[in-house]
Formats: sequence, structure tokens, C-alpha cells
Amino acid sequence: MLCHEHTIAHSLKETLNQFLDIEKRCELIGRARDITQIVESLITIAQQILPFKTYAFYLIDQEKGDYHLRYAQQLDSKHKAIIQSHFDRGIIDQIMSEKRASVIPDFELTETNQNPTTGFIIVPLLAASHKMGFLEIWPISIQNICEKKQLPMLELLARQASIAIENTLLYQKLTETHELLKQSQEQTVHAEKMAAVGVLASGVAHEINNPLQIILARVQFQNRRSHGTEVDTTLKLVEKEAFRISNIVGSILRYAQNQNRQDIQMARIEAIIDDALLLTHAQLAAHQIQVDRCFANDLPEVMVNSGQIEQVLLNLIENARHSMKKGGILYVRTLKKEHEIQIEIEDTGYGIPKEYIGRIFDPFFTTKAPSEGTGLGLFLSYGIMQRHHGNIQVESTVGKGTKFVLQIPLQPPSPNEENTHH
Amino acid sequence: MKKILIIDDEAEIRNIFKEVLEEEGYTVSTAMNGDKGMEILKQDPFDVIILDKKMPFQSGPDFIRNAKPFLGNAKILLVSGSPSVENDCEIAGFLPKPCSIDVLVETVKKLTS
Repeated sequence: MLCHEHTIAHSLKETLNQFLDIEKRCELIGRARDITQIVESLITIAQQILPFKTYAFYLIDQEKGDYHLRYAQQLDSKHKAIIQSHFDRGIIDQIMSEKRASVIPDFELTETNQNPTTGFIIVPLLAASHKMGFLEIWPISIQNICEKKQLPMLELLARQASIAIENTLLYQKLTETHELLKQSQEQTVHAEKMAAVGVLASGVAHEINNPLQIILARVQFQNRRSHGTEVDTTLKLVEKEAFRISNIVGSILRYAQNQNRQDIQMARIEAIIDDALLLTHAQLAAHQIQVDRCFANDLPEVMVNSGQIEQVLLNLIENARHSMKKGGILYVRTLKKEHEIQIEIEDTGYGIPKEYIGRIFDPFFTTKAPSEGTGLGLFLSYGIMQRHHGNIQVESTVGKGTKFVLQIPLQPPSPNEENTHH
Repeated sequence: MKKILIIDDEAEIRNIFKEVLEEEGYTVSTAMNGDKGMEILKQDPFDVIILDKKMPFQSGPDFIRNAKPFLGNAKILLVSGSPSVENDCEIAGFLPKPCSIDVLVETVKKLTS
């Protein structure tokens, strides 16, 4: 009698020690910083609870709710078929909702009238509020699994791992959100700066107009009296330069005005392009960039929001300039096509690497430093072309240059088409 | 003898416009703001009023509204650096700022023919 009680007491003590041991090892999991480390620790400790070689670790996509195989060892097609049958027969769902580690004996491999010694163990991973996934194990043997209390120990282990995984995922999400917020803030600051620049430019332009008017008018008035004299040549030059200032000021004012207008009107694209070239003329010259301007003869007017198209052109010219730091040629062409007009902005700059081309229209994608750009130019340009029912495309060769092609349809879409676009 | 009134807060613009138009045979009066312009209008009728759009205290369009009873048959030329489409039927024409004196003379001639 005494001997039996002693055995029970001893067995209980041993089990308790095992549990405490597991809990201590779980500290490892708590310290892990990514999911791979967590799973490695999970597997290591689980193998100490009951030996196994083959396993499959599934994680649930928290947004879509489906299971993904993330880690596995020695998983062959037979094992995969078994897992698939567990899904198909609803066993996984049942175990996940019962929240208990379960052993499924493999009756196929067992001879009749024998107790099964092989099978599968499925351990659900659950954090406080979420199903995180599950671990399916092929243990060496499932004999005496209940006596050895291996399932509750696996559950304890699984609970720790689930919490650690949930925390890791939350931390990752937090970091991502923080990044987005930071970029969004930078964006707002930049937009406010640009708005302030617009207001300043507009004010300056207005202030310049008065003295400019006086200079121009006086020079012209004097010119009437100075025909054929030396003064005549000088005055003609001064008049020319005054007109030049006037054009620049006009471009700036039109640009500042247009940014605020929502209206779409029939316009000549050449005028908008020339405005943009005028505004960027000095910067291009400063970088030794030659402008090669080739306009089609009979380009019809198109329905556009001039300000927005100008914004797209300025963005493309700026990008071209940025790619030709040591000088080059900027080709600006207009072409008439059957159903649309085409504007080409081509440079002889360093080009865009293949791996980036698919991303250049993504918001916040940029290869420039934060002070040089926000990574929104092409994204906004893409949106503008879409709203015009047009298109923007890019071709580029590293070392040779980049070409952007804008397309604007000749016929504005009919009211029916209009409704299906958004 | 056609009469022209120039209302602009910039003295040198009033001066040069006056000299140019007087050379073309017009009689020109000037005013530095809308109020002074209104006083002049109350005394005499004018054929053309050249009016700056952006002035401190009273803008061109505001002046047109306030001076309505005194305008008579005067045709209004609005001078503006930024042509925006403010369809005031009261305005007979626009002058860009800056504008060539040729453009100034041609436009005034058209309005007074």
C-alpha cells in the first residue's frame, strides 16, 4: 500500500517538475524577436516533451482568415495528403474551436485488435483573442501519451508561443503604421510648403508687374523718338528683356492660378508645354541641359485641366533634370494619333533600373533624398492622367535615358462612359 | 475731344499712360484711387475709364460697383496682371499688365471710334 502511494506521489512530483521545467524554457520564447525564432524554440521544447521528427506549422492570415504552411520538417507528399484530409474532414476546425491539443491515432497503420502506437498530434495555437494557427506533429510513438501528460504540456507551450507570435505581429503592424504616419506627415508639410510657395510666387509676380509696366512703357515711348540712333538699339534690347520678364511672370501667375482651378476646358497643349518649359528654362540651362522641342503641325485642342497637365509636365521635366546631373538633352515632342494626342518627354539621363520600373508610380516611391522629393510626383501624375481618361507610360534603359509618354484622348468620353470610370 | 480717366495707385503708370494718350490727341485726367476718381466723375463725364484691378483700399471691381450712378456712358477698361474670368458686363475690355503702349493705344482707339 505504502509502496503504491509512494509511486503516485513520485509520479506527481515528476510531472510537476516537468511542467515547471517547460514553463522555464518558455522564457526563451518570450525573448524571441521574430516568428522564425519563436517557432524554432517552440519545436525544440516540444521535442523535449515528446520526440518527433516530422512536423508542419500553420499560421492563420489574420486578415483573410485562411491557413498558410509556414514551417515544416521532413514533410513529404504522404504527410501533406494527411494534413489535407484533416482540413477536408473538418478536424482542424473542430480542434481549433475545442481549443485542446488532440491526438489522432493512425488506424490505417495499425493491425486490428492492437492499440495504435502511431498517429498525429494537432496542437492549436491560441492567443487570448485570436486563433493564431496550429502545429501538427508526427511523434515517434503515441503510446502512454495520456499518462505522460504530454498533451497538457504541449498546450502550455503552445499558449506561450501564441502570445509571443501575436505580440510580434502587433509590433510589426505598429512599426508599419508608424512609418506610414511619418510619411504622411512629411507629405502634409511638403504640401503646405508648396502652397505657401504658390502664394508667395503669386504675390511677387503681382508686385513685379507695376515696375515692369513702367519700364516697358517708358522704353517704348522713348523708342518712338529715337529711331535710327544708338539709343534705339539699346532701347530695343531693353524692351525685349522687359517682355521676357513679363512672360516669366505671366507663367508663374498662370501656374499659381491654375493649381486651384477644377475646371476642364478645350486648350492647346502646346501653350501648356511652353509655359512649363518657360518656368523650368533657367534650371535646365544651369544644368547644361539642351531642350529639343518638336511639335506636330496640326495638333487639335483637347479637353484638359490646364493646371493639372502643367503639373504633370513640370514633374516629368524635374525628374528628367534630376537624371541628367552632368547635362544632356531633353526632348519634348507632340504627336497626333488616331484617337489621342501624345506628348513625349525624353531625357539622356541615367535611366531607371528594371527592378524599379514597376514601382515608379507607387505613392512614396522615390530614389531621391527627402529634401529633394516626396515620391508623390509620379503617383499624382498618374492619377491626373487617369482622371483625363488618358495614360502615362514609361520606357527606360539604364545608361541611355528615360522616355515618358502622355496620352490624352481627342474625344472626351460620352456621359455614359463617364459614370463607369470611378 | 475724347476724355479718358486713369485710376491707378502707381504714379509712374498714371504718368506714362497720360503722356502716351495725350500724344494721341486725348484729354486725360488721373486719380490715385477710387474715391478721388469718383470725385472727378461727379464733375465731368468721361468716354473711357482705365482702371487698375488690384488697388489698396478699393479694388477695380469694387469701384465699378460704388461709382455706378456716376459712370454715365463711360466705357471701362480693366487692367490686370492675372486675367481671370470675372464676367462683369460693366467692363468693355481688358488690358494686360504689363501691356505695350501700342496695345494700350489700339484698345482705347477701338473703344472711342
